[in-house]
Amino acid sequence: MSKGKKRFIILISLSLIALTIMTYQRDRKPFSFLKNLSYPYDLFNKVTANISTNFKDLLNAFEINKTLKKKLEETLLDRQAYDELIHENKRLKELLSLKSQRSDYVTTAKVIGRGYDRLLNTLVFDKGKSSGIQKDMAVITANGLVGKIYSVKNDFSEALLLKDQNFSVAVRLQKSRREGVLSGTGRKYCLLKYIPPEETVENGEVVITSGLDGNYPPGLPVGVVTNVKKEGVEFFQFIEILPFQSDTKIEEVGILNLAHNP
Amino acid sequence: MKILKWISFVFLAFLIQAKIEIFNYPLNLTPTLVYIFSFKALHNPSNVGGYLSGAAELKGTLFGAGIGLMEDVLTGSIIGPDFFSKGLIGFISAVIFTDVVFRWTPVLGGIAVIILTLADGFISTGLRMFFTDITINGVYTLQMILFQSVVNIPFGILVKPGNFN
Repeated sequence: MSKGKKRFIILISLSLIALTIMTYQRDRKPFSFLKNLSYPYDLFNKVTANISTNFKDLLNAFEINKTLKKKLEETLLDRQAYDELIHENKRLKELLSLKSQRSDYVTTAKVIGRGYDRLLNTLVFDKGKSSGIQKDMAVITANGLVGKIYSVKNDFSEALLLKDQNFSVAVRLQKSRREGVLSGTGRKYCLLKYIPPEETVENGEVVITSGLDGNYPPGLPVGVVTNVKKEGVEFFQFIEILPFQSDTKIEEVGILNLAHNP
Repeated sequence: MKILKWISFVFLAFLIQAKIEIFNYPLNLTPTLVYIFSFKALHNPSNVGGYLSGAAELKGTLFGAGIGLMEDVLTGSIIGPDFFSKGLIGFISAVIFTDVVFRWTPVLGGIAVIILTLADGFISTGLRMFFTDITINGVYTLQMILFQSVVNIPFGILVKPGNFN
């Protein structure tokens, strides 16, 4: 026997014996040479099938991901609309309770924009003469006074805001009952005028309408005292008032009838 | 006497493998033992025909297979992975340093031991994974096999053909 054959026989014998023993132990049946010959082919088939399945799954996952993202966006939009409705409902409920409490309540109007005149601080409402709104009527929210009707058209109206320099209203300090006039400054704060230096005014004191001007009903909350200066003034104190209703957060308002026109 | 000597070597190798760990890695000395046996069988003066006789390959294969069989039995898993890998190492060890393939040098001896230990580790692990359901920590196993092959290098460098004259 040649050396090559001898080596071949040694190697083949070793391999066959080992494979037979191991296969028998695993499968509990004799080693099938042909079956093991087809193993690489089976393995290749298995791998390609797995890759194909995984690729299909991946494509499906992309599609599902796309659909879910779309649904999520829709749900988020719905949620936003729902939240908006909740807030609107809350505001309208407050106005409704105001309406039921006040006999001079004319109508509820929606803010549709800021006024076009840049020199004035105004808001435009979606209701006008046709809804019973007249010039100089008080505009309020559940928080307090907002301003007064400045101009009225048939189907919309414009209100001059509390902070405008052209606005003024007769007010009263709730605690001391001292009368004064509140005027806008064009900034965030308003000024309470005509309070003499001997009058004691504290920070945090509430200011309400007095009704003495004949336009606004008495007792409407207006704002709160935030700064009082007595030194360096001539005849009256310098008093800053922060309005209860911020003009940047108004969406719906209530319109009240003129005090002299019940 | 020679048989007793080899039996004691085998016993010692198994004992060291079972008891000693370095850096948490068990040793794998049996491939070296098989390598030395085959190397000796090839270069022993009693091997009259040398490489041409082919007797060293048969001896090496049988010795390796025997050692592997014992390891398989001791492992408690299936019989075959070490039987095959050690048998193959025994065969290759008897072929590798004939002047026809490589001429022995200390560096080549070290490299041969590294390759044979690596081959033993990969073949036996691969076969066990294929024929049983064991799951292994790939990184740890790789580190372990590499470490074992490095530990065995001195045997490849120190065992030279002249030792058996």
